[in-house]
Amino acid sequence: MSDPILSVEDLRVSYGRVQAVRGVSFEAEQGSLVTLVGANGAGKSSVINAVSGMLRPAGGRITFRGQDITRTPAHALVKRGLVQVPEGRQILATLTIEDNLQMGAWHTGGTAQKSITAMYDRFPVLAERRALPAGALSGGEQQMLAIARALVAEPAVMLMDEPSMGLAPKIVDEVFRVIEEIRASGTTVVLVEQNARRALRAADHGYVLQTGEVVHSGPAADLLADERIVEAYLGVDTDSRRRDGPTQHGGL
Amino acid sequence: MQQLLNGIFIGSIYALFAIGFTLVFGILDRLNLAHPAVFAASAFVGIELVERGGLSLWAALPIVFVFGAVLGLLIERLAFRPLKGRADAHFAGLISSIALAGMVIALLQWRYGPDTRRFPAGSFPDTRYEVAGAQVTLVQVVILGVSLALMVGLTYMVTRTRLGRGMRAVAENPDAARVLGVNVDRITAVTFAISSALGAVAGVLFAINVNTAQLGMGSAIELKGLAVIIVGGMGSLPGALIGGLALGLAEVFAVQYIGSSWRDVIAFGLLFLILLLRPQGLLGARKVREV
Amino acid sequence: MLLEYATTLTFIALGAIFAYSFYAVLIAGQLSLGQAGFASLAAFSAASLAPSGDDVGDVPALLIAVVLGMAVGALASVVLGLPTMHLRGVFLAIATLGFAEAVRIVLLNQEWTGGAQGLAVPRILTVGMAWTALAVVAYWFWRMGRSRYGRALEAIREDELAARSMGIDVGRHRLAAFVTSGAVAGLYGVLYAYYVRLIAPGDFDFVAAVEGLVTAVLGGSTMFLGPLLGSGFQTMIPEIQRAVGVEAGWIRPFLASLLLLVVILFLPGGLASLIPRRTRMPQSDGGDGDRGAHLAARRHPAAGETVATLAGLGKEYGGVHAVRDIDLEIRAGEVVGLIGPNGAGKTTLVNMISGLVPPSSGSATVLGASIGRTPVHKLAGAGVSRTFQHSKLFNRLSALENVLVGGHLVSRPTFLRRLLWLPSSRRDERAALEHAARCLNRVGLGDLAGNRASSLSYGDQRRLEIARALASEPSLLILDEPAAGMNHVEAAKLSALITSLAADGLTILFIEHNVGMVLETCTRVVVLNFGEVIASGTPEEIAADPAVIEAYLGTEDHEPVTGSIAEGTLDDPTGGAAQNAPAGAVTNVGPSAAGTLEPPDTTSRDAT
Repeated sequence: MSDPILSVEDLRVSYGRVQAVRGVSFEAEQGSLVTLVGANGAGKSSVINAVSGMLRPAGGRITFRGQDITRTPAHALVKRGLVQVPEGRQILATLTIEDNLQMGAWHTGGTAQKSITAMYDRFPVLAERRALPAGALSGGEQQMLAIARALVAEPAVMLMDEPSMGLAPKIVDEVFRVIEEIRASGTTVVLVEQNARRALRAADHGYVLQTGEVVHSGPAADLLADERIVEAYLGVDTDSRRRDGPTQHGGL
Repeated sequence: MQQLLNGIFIGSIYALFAIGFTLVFGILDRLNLAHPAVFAASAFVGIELVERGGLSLWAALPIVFVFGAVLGLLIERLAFRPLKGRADAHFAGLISSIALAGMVIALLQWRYGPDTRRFPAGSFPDTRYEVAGAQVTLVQVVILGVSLALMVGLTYMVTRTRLGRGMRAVAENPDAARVLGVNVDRITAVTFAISSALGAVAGVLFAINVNTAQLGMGSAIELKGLAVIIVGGMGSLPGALIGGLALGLAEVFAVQYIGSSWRDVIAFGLLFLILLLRPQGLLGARKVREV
Repeated sequence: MLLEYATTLTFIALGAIFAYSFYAVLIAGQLSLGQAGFASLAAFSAASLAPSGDDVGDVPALLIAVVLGMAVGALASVVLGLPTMHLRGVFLAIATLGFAEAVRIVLLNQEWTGGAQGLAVPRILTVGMAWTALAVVAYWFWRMGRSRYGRALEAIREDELAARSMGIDVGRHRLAAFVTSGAVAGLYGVLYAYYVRLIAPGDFDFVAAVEGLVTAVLGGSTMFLGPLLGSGFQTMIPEIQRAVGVEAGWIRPFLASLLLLVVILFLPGGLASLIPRRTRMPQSDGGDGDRGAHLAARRHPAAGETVATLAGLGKEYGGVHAVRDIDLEIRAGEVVGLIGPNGAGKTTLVNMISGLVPPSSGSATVLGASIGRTPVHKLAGAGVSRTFQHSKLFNRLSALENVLVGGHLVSRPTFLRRLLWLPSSRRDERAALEHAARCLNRVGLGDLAGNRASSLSYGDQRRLEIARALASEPSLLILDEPAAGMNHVEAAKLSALITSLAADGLTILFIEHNVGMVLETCTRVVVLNFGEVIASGTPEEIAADPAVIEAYLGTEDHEPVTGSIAEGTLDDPTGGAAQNAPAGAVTNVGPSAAGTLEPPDTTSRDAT
């Protein structure tokens, strides 16, 4: 097994006294698509924000390309090739689409006209409206812009936080098609999703989070077939007798 | 015609001062009440540079610009950055910047004493021009030229350059900017530096225009600056420019038609009208906050 | 001895009174700089209108002037306050500052004020009178502190929205605080005038206003002694400086400013925050013998009566439909769970029901009040109470005080009676305290009554929000993700609490992500996705509904897409009006069917 490009060990994140993430570990191989799935409030977004440097972890260790980045701030990580597509898209609504894409190249210190042109080729809908404020785009188009903006930064690892949120199923399918293309081009993708079935279908490896802990992990195809995921989501025990004990921990 | 020109001269100084206010408000959503202290301090420093340093006005202006920028960095570091993330940061920022302003003014008093100071006689040539029947001095032309050049430069910087794009990104959504690799603290500090540098130049130009500098000159213009950014729209650069010019003109004409003692009521009348009728200002956009 | 320091002591008293005029609004979270204007108006009108001391005697003349001045200050603050009370934060500060400056310039241009020369006023005020006045003002704010009115102001300062939801009429309270401030500033103006012998409009300028504000902030705005401490400190600095023998004029402002900076950065509560704040827990907390004796009782709708009716309710944000066309009826005694994936519109829906967000289409009636036209505090008065997804507690108040504010609607105003020490106010306060203590005990937080809300653990904060919501004796209780961040055991306890509340006759609507808990606790579950109801029914029906599982986990099979959003050839429903519920989901329950339901199941459930 080669060294993973990104590895997270025993990550803990707290908000004041609340422990949102209680010792999560996972890793991503170069060029793979790894997904963290779980219901709302499971701590998925906290994990990804800690990895991208947006949140300061309370404990644990994050390694990227062999270097410890646990305390590295977000702006330094983008430069090194760890780029996040944030939850809720976070496009800059008052800036033009062109400006949004230019912001993707912020860390290069210049403009990245070449990769922006490439994005326009890939997403013609953005090219048509490049001079419009990004707020004028529809939800799905905004998600495309957020992805394109991250791609301009030429990431080695792309962290995606709930790209399907609030989007209709047809649009979600297309978002996933783009994600699979990105992965096919050699970029490692870490995908956080509530839409577990969709995410696991696309992923190589999956981790299921519940109340800040990894409760299942394994090859995505195996997880997809596992009924216990439904339990992790809905809190409905498939085996109702096991109600009092903590949910079984471990992989498959 | 003479009045119109006078209004434009004084208005461009108001605009320059107000732009500094509004720039910080746009980025941080905070009022920097130490801005007037920068205005006063740089006027005194400018006079000292010319008087004791024997520099020409042309050499003094860039030095004052840098002096203002350094003060701006200090203000950001001492009065605003420590408050980051505090729930009452809005209110605390007002108070901490008032405190810092008080310290700066006290230091000015220590170094220059409480008296009014002037540029030494003959600091600038007394050349006069005739423009459409009105008298214009060279100094006034310089004031207008410098203000316009700075405002055009700033507008270009904000709308066209990479730094400006970064500033707009931080202003709209600091978290989104961070995700994109922007060092938000650095952009904020740079914004303070630019804002204060503009305020500093405005201070020197103002001192030249009225040929006096007083410790209280900052608070006198502070209220007008606030009126200008409210009228123009908080955070709006063109708003500050238009608001400043409008106020300058309104004042000059008020002096002529109503009486000089009522000049200062104009600003507050405008201020009230706008706050009651259109709180977001003439050119401001209302920020929508989520529940 | 006293005479030697008489001037200093008088200025300490005057400075403190002026600082109280800032304290009066700071306590309600408002920043006003108009007090110098009120003081100025009061000083000049009193000095020119009040009879001379030679005619009526010195003290009566001063008293008449004080009454006149306070009336002028209060009147001016009403005139300024009515149009500006809707302004917040910096905007209010600038507007009031503009007012003060306008007053200064106008007075400067009047003949009767003496213009820039100023107006001569006899010195009548003595150090004793100054301190008497200060004592009266401090007494006022001391008695206000623990009254219903004082707590309401503090609640507004801490979180205006939450205060509204507790039934506090924020507009009226803010105006009342502003008028108090105007009257106290007027008092200061008059006393100042009758001490310094000569007043000029320039005495009440921006610098004076800032000095008053600085004194109030330095002293601290969360405790009634703050302004006094601040003024003592401010006035003592030059005295100490003189004693040490440093004469330079710049040192005093420098030190005062430095001190202010240090206080605001490192001691946000001001000097008064160094004094510990006690919370009294009532001695008898279990006695429900005279339950509600002094509290207004609310009649809950009888089981089965309609509590809320939603008809075609929708909300659009900039072309995006957060919620669309919801028909729903909630009957008394029901426990309705609202579930659905992230972004489904659940919070928007309850925000509309609780009056925080006006609907953009459709209509709804909740407890007889029409949604969209009824202000939040009136809706709270009708019996709607809620918690928030992100805790909106009054952070700097103790747990008990939070719940006391929650009881605002069912307790009686006590402030004026507290000023007179009437026994009835003491009884009412005790009743309110006992009621609050009962609510705290009910959620199991009795032991933490004295702790600051912000110092509680997350789970305790969520419980405290429920206690606060309960304190208003609501008929409809809305909980927004009450179990977020709770572990298994805590969630089970919460579930039991909700069930017992329902047994008391409350109707409960709650959003929750812990679906298991919802299924265990609710009599009916409504599932939202893409702003529409995709399923509604008993927990058993919902648990077996494939559409619900799909909404959460995504579809099992997957069809190829035609068209592309990247190329602009695919219609995107999130862009505007469109039909976008998941294909498999809409067939289950139509939006109109969601409103019909069986009679509610009111039998109590065992949550464990």
